Amino acid sequence: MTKRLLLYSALIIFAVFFFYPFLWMVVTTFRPEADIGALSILPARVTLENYIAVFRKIPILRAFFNSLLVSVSVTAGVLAFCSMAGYALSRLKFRGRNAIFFLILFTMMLPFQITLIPQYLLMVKFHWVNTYLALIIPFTMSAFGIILFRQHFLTIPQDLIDAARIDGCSEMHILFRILWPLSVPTLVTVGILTFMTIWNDVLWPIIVIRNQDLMTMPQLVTLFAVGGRAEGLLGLKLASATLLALPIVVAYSFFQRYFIESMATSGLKS
Amino acid sequence: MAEVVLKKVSKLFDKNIVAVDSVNVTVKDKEFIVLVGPSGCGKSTTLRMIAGLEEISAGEIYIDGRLVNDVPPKDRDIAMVFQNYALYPHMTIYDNMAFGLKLRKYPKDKIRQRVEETAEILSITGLLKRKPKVLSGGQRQRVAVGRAIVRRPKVFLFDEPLSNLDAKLRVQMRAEISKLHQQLKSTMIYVTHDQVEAMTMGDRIVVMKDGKVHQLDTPLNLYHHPVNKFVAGFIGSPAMNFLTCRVAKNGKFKLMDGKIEIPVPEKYQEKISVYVGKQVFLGIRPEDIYLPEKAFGVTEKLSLRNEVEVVEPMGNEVYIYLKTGAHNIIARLTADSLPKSGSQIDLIFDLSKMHLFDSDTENRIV
Ligand SMILES: Nc1ncnc2c1ncn2[C@@H]1O[C@H](COP(=O)(O)OP(=O)(O)OP(=O)(O)O)[C@@H](O)[C@H]1O
Ligand SMILES: [Mg+2]
Repeated sequence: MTKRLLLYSALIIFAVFFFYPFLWMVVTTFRPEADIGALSILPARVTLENYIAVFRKIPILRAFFNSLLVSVSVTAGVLAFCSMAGYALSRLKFRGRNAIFFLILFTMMLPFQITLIPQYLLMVKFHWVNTYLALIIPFTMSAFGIILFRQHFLTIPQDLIDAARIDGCSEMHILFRILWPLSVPTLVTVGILTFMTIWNDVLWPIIVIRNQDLMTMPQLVTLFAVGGRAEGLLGLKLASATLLALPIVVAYSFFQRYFIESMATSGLKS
Repeated sequence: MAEVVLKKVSKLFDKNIVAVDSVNVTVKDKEFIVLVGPSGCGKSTTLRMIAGLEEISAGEIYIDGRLVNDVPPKDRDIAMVFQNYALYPHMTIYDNMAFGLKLRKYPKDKIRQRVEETAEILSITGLLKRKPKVLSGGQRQRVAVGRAIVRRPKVFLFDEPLSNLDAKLRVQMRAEISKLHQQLKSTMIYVTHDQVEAMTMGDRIVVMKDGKVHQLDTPLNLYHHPVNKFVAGFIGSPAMNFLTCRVAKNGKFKLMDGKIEIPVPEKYQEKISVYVGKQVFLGIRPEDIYLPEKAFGVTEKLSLRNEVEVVEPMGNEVYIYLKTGAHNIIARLTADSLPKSGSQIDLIFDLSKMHLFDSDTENRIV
């Protein structure tokens, strides 16, 4: 009994440590700038002026839609293309299949920083800088997604695929009408992890996007909060950060179960 | 309604594993042919090549007169039933059966009519709205068969469709598939490793081993005239007994098994003459061994004293495991004969039913 009590107190203390700063941030965005020094959770005076200022100063709604567009497109691309590649690598017979697979595995070991500059140069050559294409196209294939799909498809009995082939399915039919419905957990895992990675990315957008109307939400908020346009007003910075966190919190509360499952099944945190 | 011809068909895996070795088979129109053989002999591979699921390394396959080597499975006008049923888990039974027709762009009402008709034949009408995972093994099996026949293909391929069913259901489905064959009047190629299934269902049987066809014949011909020791041992249950003997001549040609002297029937004397001094295999089926008082009408007989090791009463008959000199022998006796294990009994071997095989080639001598 005392053991349990101790455990719970420890957990509560940790939870407070984690949660308090976040809660404080949210509460503080509703305080007038002059009150911000207070550490208490309950605001003395409530105001919306921070938010109004943020909306006036930066196109944050536009940035939200940019982020949504980019993340959804990349996720859709990853699901389609990685599952195709995973299918080919697990079920089609062709020369060099294993070599290609190992090459893909190898790319996973390269840190992002190494390919950053060549990739940027590529975007310049393609004239994709300052377009959505630069944010979307390079990410519609991921080694991680391919491998996850490949491993999952290997667990589906060959007979099922053979039966579909005899029934008259083309390879695309097999993938999308037979394998996809049997791969929902993998689709969800790859989908959520891809979406979150893309949604949270700041570095790449900062490199390829300079036009404020095309900026993603994290990019815009980072530039706003760190880049001096908030004029040193803490309330504005915190309000923009809160707006940035909002969609993730909402998405998380809806898809909580899948988030946790996908973290657990993929065996890694991004 | 089609003939299937395999001409020197071979399959190599990874360039060196020979799974199927120059197989020649002609399956006649409307014939029910069974491929049988021990595990790993290449039955499934052969069937999968006919289906187009496996590339053909060498040789030619014709279906209904058309060379199909490079024709994809869906255009071969075949249907296949798999061992583990391979039903689409995310579709209802109706959709499972309708899937092939939908892909072939049949009109909706035609599909419905076909599926319902087929479900009727297989008595699975009540299951159409369910998903495969709630069905029993036997029901899934029916659905798998239904999915095959709903398309009315020219050729049906079965790969060990009954091996996941319990013994009773297996016997029942065996009869149903045979009945279906008579109803549909289409060509069926059926793979099994169970020789009882092969014997009871096949119009003709292809016996395979190590990728090669050893014999292609009717069930009774396989049973009475096996071309070699392998076929002789594979067909029939319990399996044929084999004794290694030396051929000797003393007046007539005889077989010597240690001290036991086995006379060779008159009709085989000439054929055996070239084997003098050599070893041969003598084959005798368990049902050609009798208790002395039951051996009426056996003319060419050999009486041997045997030690009874195990007695297996089956109800309608008894299998007796015997030790005869250095050999282990199984006899199949009538149900009323129940010797005690450990006892010594005399048994009569019907030598007119003997089979003889060359000890090097294992081919049939007589
Ligand atoms: N994809 C493959 N790659 C390599 N070897 C294979 C492959 N498929 C089958 N083989 C080999 O080919 C041989 C024949 O296999 P096959 O599946 O046709 O045997 P089978 O007669 O159907 O046996 P079973 O009764 O066990 O099903 C076996 O030795 C097997 O190991
Ligand atoms: Mg097989």
